[in-house]
Parts: sequence; C-alpha cells; structure tokens
Amino acid sequence: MTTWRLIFRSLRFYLRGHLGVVAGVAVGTAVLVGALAVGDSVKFSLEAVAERRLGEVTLAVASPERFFRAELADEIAGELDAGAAPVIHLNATAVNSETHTRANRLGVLGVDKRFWRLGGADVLLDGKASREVVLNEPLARRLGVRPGDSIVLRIRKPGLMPNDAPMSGDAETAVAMRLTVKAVASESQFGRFSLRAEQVAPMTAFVPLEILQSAIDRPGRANMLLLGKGAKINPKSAGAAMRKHWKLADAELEVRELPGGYGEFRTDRVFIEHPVEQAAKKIIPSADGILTYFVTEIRCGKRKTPYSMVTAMGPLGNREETQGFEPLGLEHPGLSFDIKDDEININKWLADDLQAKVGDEIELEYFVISPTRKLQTRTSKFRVRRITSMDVRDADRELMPKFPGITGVKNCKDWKPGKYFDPRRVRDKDEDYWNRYGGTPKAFVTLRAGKKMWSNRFGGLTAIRFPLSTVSSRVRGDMLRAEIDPASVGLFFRPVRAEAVAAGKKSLNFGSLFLGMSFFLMASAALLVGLLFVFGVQQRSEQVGTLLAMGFRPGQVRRLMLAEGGVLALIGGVIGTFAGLMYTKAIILGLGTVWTGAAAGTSTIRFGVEPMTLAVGGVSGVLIALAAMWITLRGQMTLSARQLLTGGRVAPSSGAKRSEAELVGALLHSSSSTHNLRSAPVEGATRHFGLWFGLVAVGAAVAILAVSAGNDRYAPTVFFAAGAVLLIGSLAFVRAWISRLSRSVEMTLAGLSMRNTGRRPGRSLATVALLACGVFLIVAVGANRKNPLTDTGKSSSPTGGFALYGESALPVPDDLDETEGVRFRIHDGDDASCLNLNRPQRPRIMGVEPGQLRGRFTFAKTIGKTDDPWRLLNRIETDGATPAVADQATIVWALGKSVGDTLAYTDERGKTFRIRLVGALAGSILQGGLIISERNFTGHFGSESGYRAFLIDAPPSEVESLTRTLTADPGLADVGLELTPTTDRLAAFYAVRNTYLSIFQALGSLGLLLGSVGLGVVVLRNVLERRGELALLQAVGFSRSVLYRMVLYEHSVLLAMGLLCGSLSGFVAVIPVLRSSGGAVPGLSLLLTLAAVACGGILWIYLATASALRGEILSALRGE
Amino acid sequence: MSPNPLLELTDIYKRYDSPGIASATEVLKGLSLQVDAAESVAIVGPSGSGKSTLLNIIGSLDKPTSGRVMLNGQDLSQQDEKSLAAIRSRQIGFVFQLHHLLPQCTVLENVLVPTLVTDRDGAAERAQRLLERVGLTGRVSYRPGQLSGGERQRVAVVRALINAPKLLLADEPTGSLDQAASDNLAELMVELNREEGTALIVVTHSTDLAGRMDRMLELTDGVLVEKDSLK
Repeated sequence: MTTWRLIFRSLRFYLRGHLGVVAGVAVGTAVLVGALAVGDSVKFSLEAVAERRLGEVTLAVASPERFFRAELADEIAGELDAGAAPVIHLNATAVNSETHTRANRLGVLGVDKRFWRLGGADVLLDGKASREVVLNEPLARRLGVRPGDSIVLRIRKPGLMPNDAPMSGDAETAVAMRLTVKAVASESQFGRFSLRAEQVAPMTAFVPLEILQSAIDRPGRANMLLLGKGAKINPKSAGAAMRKHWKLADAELEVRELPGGYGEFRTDRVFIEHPVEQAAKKIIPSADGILTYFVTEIRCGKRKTPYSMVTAMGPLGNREETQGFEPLGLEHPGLSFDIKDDEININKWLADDLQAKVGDEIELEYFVISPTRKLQTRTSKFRVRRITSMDVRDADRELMPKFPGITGVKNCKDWKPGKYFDPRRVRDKDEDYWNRYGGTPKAFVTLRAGKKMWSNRFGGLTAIRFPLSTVSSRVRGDMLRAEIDPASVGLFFRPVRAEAVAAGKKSLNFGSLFLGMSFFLMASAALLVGLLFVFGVQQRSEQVGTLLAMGFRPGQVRRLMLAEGGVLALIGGVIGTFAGLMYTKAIILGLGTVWTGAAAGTSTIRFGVEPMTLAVGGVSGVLIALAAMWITLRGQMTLSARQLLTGGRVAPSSGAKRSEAELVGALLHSSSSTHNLRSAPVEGATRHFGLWFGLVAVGAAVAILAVSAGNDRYAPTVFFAAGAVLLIGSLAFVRAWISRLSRSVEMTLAGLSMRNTGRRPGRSLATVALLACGVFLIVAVGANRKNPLTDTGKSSSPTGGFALYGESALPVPDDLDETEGVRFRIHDGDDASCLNLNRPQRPRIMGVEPGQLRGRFTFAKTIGKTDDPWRLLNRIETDGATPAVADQATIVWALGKSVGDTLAYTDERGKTFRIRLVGALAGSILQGGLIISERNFTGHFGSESGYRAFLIDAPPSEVESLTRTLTADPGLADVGLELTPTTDRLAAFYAVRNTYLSIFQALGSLGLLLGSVGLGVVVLRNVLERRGELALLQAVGFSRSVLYRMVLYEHSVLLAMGLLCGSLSGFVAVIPVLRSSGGAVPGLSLLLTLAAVACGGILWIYLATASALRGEILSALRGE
Repeated sequence: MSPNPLLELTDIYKRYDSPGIASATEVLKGLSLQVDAAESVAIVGPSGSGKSTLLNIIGSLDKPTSGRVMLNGQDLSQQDEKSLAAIRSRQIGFVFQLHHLLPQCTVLENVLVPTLVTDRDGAAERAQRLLERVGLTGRVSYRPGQLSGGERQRVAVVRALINAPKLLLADEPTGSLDQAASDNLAELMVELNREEGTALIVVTHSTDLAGRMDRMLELTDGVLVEKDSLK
C-alpha cells in the first residue's frame, strides 16, 4: 500500500463524483487557454499581415515631397548586395470609367519589376510605359472592376516646391490618367504592400514607374526607396551607403558655373533649405547669399510699379555687410552694396517708372504665407541709396530662381504665381521690361533685410554664389555634398520591418483583454470546482475522520485530498487545454462575424497558437483549480476527527472559541458545512457583525458619493467604487438576515423554508455572493455602452459640436477655407485609434491652429490646470518637446502611454524629436492621431503642404444639403474629399468599445450561467444532506409536491437576494453613465439577461431538487 | 493495580455547551481510571452517559475540560496535535461501531492504510498474518462492500492492530452486528488482546461483550464505578 495507490483507488471509486470537478477545471482552463490563444492568434495574424505587406522589404526611404534619382536604388543595392526598388508613392482617387464608382484616399504606386521581386511575387507590371494598371483586391472590390476594365486615376502632382511655399504657383495640383486594369493583385502577389502598421489592407493602384514619372513630370525620379533583406542590411550600413552614393541632385540641388569665374548652388525647390545653407556657409565662408522675391508692388509716393523681382544679397559668412560688400558676379557700374538694412538700390528703369530719386522712400508690398497658409500682405519701407544703370549682364537675369508659373512664361499676363496675381494690372511697359531684361531684379536690399521679410520655413536663400578662383564648381559641389547629412534633406532609411515587428509584438493585447473579459467566467468555474470538490470531500468526511483517528495529521489528509484533486485538475487541465483550442476558434469566428467591431471590422485574424501559451494556460488552469480546492479544503479540515466521524452532529465544547478572523473568513468565503455547528452566541455575533459591517459599508458608499459630489471628472470611478462597496454592504446585510432566519419561529411552510435557508449561512451567502457579483458586473459593464447620437450638438460632446468630418486624399484647395470649421494638416502615419490592432510605431500627426478648437471637446486629463486646454499646444516645453493632445483611447490603448509621457518621433529631415502628451480628450472623434499646433507641424514637416482633414460646422438642418453640395463639387471630388457625419465617425469608435462590452457581457453571462450551475450543486448538496429530514416530513404527511415547493422557496430566496443585491449595486455604479451624454443603458438586453439568470437559477434549483428527491425518499428514513 | 499503569486518567471533567441553554452540560465529573498493559476493560452505561466521550478523550480525539490523561507515561494534555497524531498512529488502535473502512480500498489495503504514516517494516506480512488469524485470508482482495457486517468489523479490528498499538479502543464494536457476529467478534477481540498483549477498552451496551473483559466499569453520573462492586 502506498499513498499514490490510495489516491488512485479513491479517484477510481469516486469517478462519477469527480466528473463535475474535472468538467469545472476543464471549463476554467479552456477559457484561460482560449483567452491567451486569442492573444496569440491576433499577434500571429498581425505578423502574417506584416509579412504580406512588406514582403522582403526591410528598410525604406519614404519622403513623399522629395524626389531623388531612381538610380540611387541600384547604387545602394549594389553597395549592400541586396534587392532594392525605386517607387513613386502618391495619394490619389480613382473612378470606374463605366459605372463611375469612386474610391477616395487610395495610394498609387509607380513600380517596376524590382518592386515585385521584393514582394517575392510574379512581375505584374514591368515599369515600362504601358497604359496599364494593377489594382489590389480592396481597390478592385471598391471600384467593382475586373481585368480589362478602364479606370481614371486622379493623382496628386507634386510641385517643384511645396504648395504652401510662397510663389509655389497656381498650377494644377492633380493629374488624371485613364488606364486599363491589367490584373488584380492578391495579397500573395504583394497587393497588400504598405509601410503603415495597420491590419486593414489599404486600397492601392500599381502603375508602371515610367508612366507615373512622366505623368508628374519627374522623369527618372522616385520618392520611395525600398531595400530588401540581406546580410549587410541594417539602418547603419544603409545610412553609410546612402552617404556614399547620394548626389546633390537627390536633394534637388544643382551647382553651376556663372560667367566671370563664379559658381552657384541653387535648387528646383526655389528656396535653399536651411541645412544646405548652413553647410555652404561652413565650407565656403566667402560665399554670397541671394534671396530673390516676387513683390506685388513697389511704391514711391502715389506712383506704383506692379509685379517685380527684388533681390536681397549679402555675405553668407562673417563679412560685414554694410562695409564695402561687393556682390559676386555683379560687377556692373554703380552697384555698390555699401548700404544699410533700411536702404535700397533701385535700377534706372524703376527709378524712371516711379520718378524716384536718391533719398526717396520706397515701399515694397509682397505676399507671405502665414503659418495657417493664409496669404498675408506685408509692406516694408526703404530709403533709396543709389540708382543703378541698366547695364545688365546675364548674371543679373539669373538672380531670379525658377519660380513656377513665371519662369519660361512668354508674357507677364500669363504668369500664374498664385491667386493674388491680377493680370489686368500688368502694363505694356512691364511686358516690355520682361521681354528685355527677363527676371532681372529692379531693386536690391541687404540680405539681412531680405531674410527678415521673406525667409520662411522652406528656406532663407534662393541661391548661393561663390568664387571659382582655386577650385572648380564640381569640387565645391562635392564639398557641399560631403558636408550635408542626407537625412537632413529627407534621405534616410526607416527600419520598416523592425517597426512592423514592434507594432505586432506590442499590439493590443487581446490575450489580456479576453482574460479580463473572461474573468468572471473563470472565477465561476473556479468557484464551481471548489464547491464540487469540497462537497466530494464532505461526502467522505467520515473517511477523513477515520484517517485522523488512525494518526494521520490534518495536513497529511489535506495533502492526500489535494493530491487527488491535483490529478483531477491535471486531467481537467489537459481536457481544458484542448477544449481551449476549440474555444479560441469559436472566439475567432465570433470576431470575424458577430463581434467584428472588436477587431475593427477585419476578418484578418487567423488561428495561431504558441505551444508555450498552451503550456502556460493549461498549467495556470490547473493551479487556479488547485488553489480553489486548497481554499475550500482548508475550511473543511478545521473539523476534528470526532466531529467528522459523527457526521458533524456533535456540538462544540465550551471554550472552543472561534477567532474573529474565522468569523470573517466564514462570513465571506466558506461554503463548508461547518457553520451549522455554531453556537448561538457565535451566530449572534455573526449577525451583529453582519449588521454593523453592512451599515458601515452603506455609510461608506454614501460618504464616497457625498465627498465626490460635483466632481464629474472621477465620477465613473467613484460611482463604481460606491457600487462595489454597496455590494459588499448588502451581502453583509444578507449574512445578518440569513442568521436571523435560522431563529425564525413561524411554523408555516414558507417559515420552515426560511429557517432552512439559514441553516447553512456560509453556503447560502456564497451562493448569494456569487450571483450578486455576477449580476453587478453585468449591470455595471452592460450599462456602459455609449450611444453616439446623444448631445452631439454640444461643443463639449465627443464630436466637438461639429457636424461633419472630412478627409481627403490630396490637399484640399482653398475653396473650403470659406466653410465654417477647423482644418488639419496631416502627416500620414499609423492609425492610432482603437480600429488598429497594431501598436502604432509612427502615429499619424495632425497640425491645427489651437485657437480654432477653443471650447471644443472635453478633456479627460491635462498636464496642468487651464481654462483652455487647447492652448497647451502652444506651450514651450523646457526640454524642447513638442506638446500634443490626443484622444484618451489613443494615448492609453493605442500608444500605451499617459498624459505627461513623451514619445520619440522622426521629422522629415530624419531628426528625432520628442512629443509630450499634454492633454487627453475624453472619447472623441479625434481618435487616431496626435494633434500638435500648426506652427510646430510646419516646423517638423515643412515640406508637407495643405490641409487634408476638416471639422465642419453646420446647423443640423443644413448638414444634408451641405454634404450634398460639397460632395457634388468636382474640385473636392477630385481631391478625394470624403465627408462623414461626426456621429457616424463616433459610432465607428464606439462600436469597438460597445463590442468589447458585448463580449464581456456574453462571457459574463456564461459565467453567471456557470454560477447558476453552482447554485444547482448547492441545492443538490443541501437536499441530499437532508434527505432523511425530508423523508421524515414525508412520513408525517408532507406530500412530495410540498417538499418540492419548500426546497424551491428556500433556494429561490437566495437567487432573488443575489439578483437584488447585484442589480441595485450595479445601477449605483452606472449612475454617471446614465447622466452622461451618450450614455445609453441597454435596458431590454439587461432585463433579458437578468431574467435568463433568474430562469436558469430556478431551473437548476428544480432539476437539483428533482434529482435529489428522486426515488423512494422514505428509504432514507430507514437508513437513519 | 500496577504502579506503572499503561493508562491513567485523573480527575477528568468534560462540559458541553448546549445551543440556547445558558448552563453547560457536564458529562464527566472528576472521573479517574487506571488501565494496565494487556488488560481488558469494559465500560458500560446508559445512552448519553458519556461513554463515547470518555473513549474519545482516552484516544486523544477529544480533550477534557480539565484533568489529566497519561498514556504510557506521556501526558496527552501536554502534547500538540502533531504529537497526538503520532501517538494515535503508533500507540492507539480504534474500532468504531460503524467500521469506517475505505470503500475504495480492498481488505488488505484498508488494513495497511495506517502504516502509510508509520512506515512500519513487514506491515504487509503482519497484515496477512492478522487477516489469516481473523479468518479473512480469502477476502484480502475484496472491497468492504463485498463483505458481511461481521467481516467488515473484523477487518476494522485488524486495521486497528496493524501498527501493534499498546491500547485498543473499541466504541460499540458489536453495536451494528447480529448476535452471532457479535459473539464471534467479541471472542476474537479478547483472543487478540491476549495474543498481542494490547490493552483493550471497550465501550458497549452488550453485557455479553462486557462480561468477557477483565474488568467492567459503569459510567454513572459522570464517574466510573467498578461493576463488580455495584453487584
């Protein structure tokens, strides 16, 4: 005989009784494994999505506004011995030529065969100039097209300089292409390609690279460089290769020689960027800086000259500007730069036109673009220092940079410098000047004065001149290239694969989420396991007593029982682990069908589980079951051998005092049968303790509510806490009440039932507590659903009081500026809303003028107290961080941060800067991105022009007509403006939260169902224990139906108490939700859930009673 | 009486609280008793007189409200639960009115269960020998459910003796048996008492069984009175 032999003998003998325990452990483990496995599956799916969207792409240069040489890709690929592809990536809209079905906000990729190779796919387009397009599946589906159909792509045509730059021209910003669909690329054919860490596939059109280059007038250029896998591929080596191979042309810089032995740096972007200026200053201190600007009017008194070039010149280095500065390359007579910052040299033509003479005051009028992209007229006054001759050399003409809309245009009247240009003001003499002198400046000021007037975020010079006395222009060019960090001009690699891996790894932890949502289900399973196990042990109480009498110590018997339970837990754990896999598949099916909202409407989640997860889940399930057994067993082993051998019928000795801890423990936890052994004083003490405890708890709940009255900020937490305390208090009252029941003297059937209810106070309380906790959670959580249609007109509501939200593929023309509302600049990035399962690595940035949002939305939290939280965006942070506001869901769930935290971000020059979260918006439609001030936005992403997101104000009665008007506007349709009622956008976000609540409610209800099985077990146990008594009652004339009723009454009271305590406390917890905007208690579904629980409970009571009273009850009497 | 009795109870009192009644019920009132090694003693008395309580106190399953219990020179009131369990496993054997055999184990396994906490060498051989002695050789692999009431009690006696205790306590061992089985068991217990040298205290209503013991004591009004002297 060995201990294990005894254990296995017991397991076999009590097999039927153990099945319930095994089933309970299996359910608990299955739920646990299932929750963890769902988490694994989501991660697995996101990794799979990352694989599909990136193919072999490891690093990428993605610089939407910069076009480098496409050959750069081959040069770097050769250096690193890896695949590389130059790509043009632009935003676009598409229309089915036949049905006119439209797709907004899609990406168009100009690719060649190198791209497909990186995706490990067949070459669907070879990049040659054929008028064909390949669509990915989502786009083809949206447009309803098949191979052979025709579509029109409207693509944003990037300008030579950013649209926001002064004098960026008034040219068309989009180009239309009619193309034939050649194929539809599936995900396995690299149709899923995207650099954004989002699980929802983007809509993409693939166009031959050459065709796209030609369409946007950028032959041989690309704005995206993809680098594949390779042994040498890492950001460091790629950065080194970039430094080695990049050319000035990749930053759209050119170096040229001017007559007279001078060289010049200039750029197609008009303005030389500040890092380039700094580099030039460093390598050629003797260089001159030139800033030529287009002024709208030059005035002298009442006389005016329209539309002229004015040049500011001066030394780049430390030469003193005002003392004998001789501009390089401008050695014609009379042009001395011995002028001060408030003086101006004008040419003779202008002096004649204005009849100005030396000493006269000249006023320059010009346009600048404000940070909010409003054209602003500015004027500056100068005094005429000299009048220069008209002996103009070629160099003078070259002072004018290549202004889009001016350079190369034959007549002044045909200029298109911007909407401020009025051709009617152009006189014949102006045309004549243009014909004779071209863009030769009519006036000169100092560089310092010029920079003060015209320097902007795009640059402060239009050319840099330097002498070529010792070195050639080419050498100077090389020197400049060596001095510039290519990252500072946007040529830097992003570790896109590492970002994708991180996005998947740190993605929303569905495992934890489902663990949380399944908590009650698991707790119910654990409680059921504990109940079933301890009831099994109680059935063997005489056996335990015998072992104790034979000299086994209580600990030894407990270990013996626990070992037996351990084997059961192990069996249940193994079954549960396998069942968990099925459960996982069921949840995934749910996420793909009824709960699509939780996974942002995607069906991309596929089953994928790590063996370690199964092991962890299985072992945890077993350990939880063991813990439940140990806790319940601990209470059981407090009985002596004497008590156990007599089946607990012996009264305790005097002096056998119970400690207060035992009382509390018994009050709140135990379901063992020991409590009927209590003496009257002990019961009395318990009753009083329960009453006082209940009173204190209710008092505490009231106090919590009173103290927090008026503080809406923490209302949800406070009310939940108050509800929870009230729940504990009500259970204490129930405990006291149950104690009182045992002393009931009224001898009616109901009275007898009540007295029976009080016989096992611990067991009765456990039953009530289990039901009450379940109901509390279901009510408290269920009532947290949000209805997006409530109070949306208020400025403080989640919609900010705006009626429409618009987002466009291409920057929206200024027409929309006339509409009432708020405009946002967008730096595309990962969606950081709850619709994205990935952890965003580069969240989308939105730039806004903070003043426009004053009084809009509600802040859940800010970094400091302020009347206008939006002004926090203008804060100057001591550490130089950029202040940002985001929706609370974005901060907490998407980014895993909190207000006050910072995150690192890379600007368009590859420079890392920090963003500090200064405010969290309470559940708003601005989820998904970080909002920074427009000033900071243009500082970090200066080359990104235009507005692409809009919040539009409109009275409710006009929303529909406004939407119709804006949607019908061909200009807005071309830029792919998509308008959504803010309530719809809010509903999409709430859908996620509401789906989580649905899942919680569904799993919670399952838990409650399991809890009601526990109720059935308790009933069964109670009735079986009292079979003799019931037989006696039958013997003295009680009919079977009366016995049924009696048992039903006594347990229905427990059921009713549980429902009542849970519902009341639950409703207290959700009072703030009922009061809040958008709060919508799903009364019907809650009522149905509670009714189902009540019905289920009664059913279990009935079944358990029927089972226990089955057969000949009187035989039990004979047994007695 | 021996100057060094195996068991010595001195001035034992035992009170019980009764629910709803202010005063406690006093069952044992200054009871004293001495039992020598290998002696057999019967305790008789009316129901509720405290016989089982006394047996439980002797067997360390209950504690007296006051008084001293010495077993083999050890004061049981001074022992902690762990020591008492060890004393029960090595020095005391119990036979209850209901056999309390483990239904999941065979006869042999039931007999050997007490050895799980003593690790006694040769336990299996001793079990076989004792079972043979009580006439259950052919029943060793039977389950309790397959035995008659008398056979179950015989297994319970063997189980009580397996660790060769110094004291065997039997609480109404024949209470649930018919006359023939009762006689059989009574005879067996007396024989084993002599053969094993184990002191035997039997609580019983059966005068037949009590009459087979060396001494017969009656528990009346909380004290023990020699039955012979009553005669």
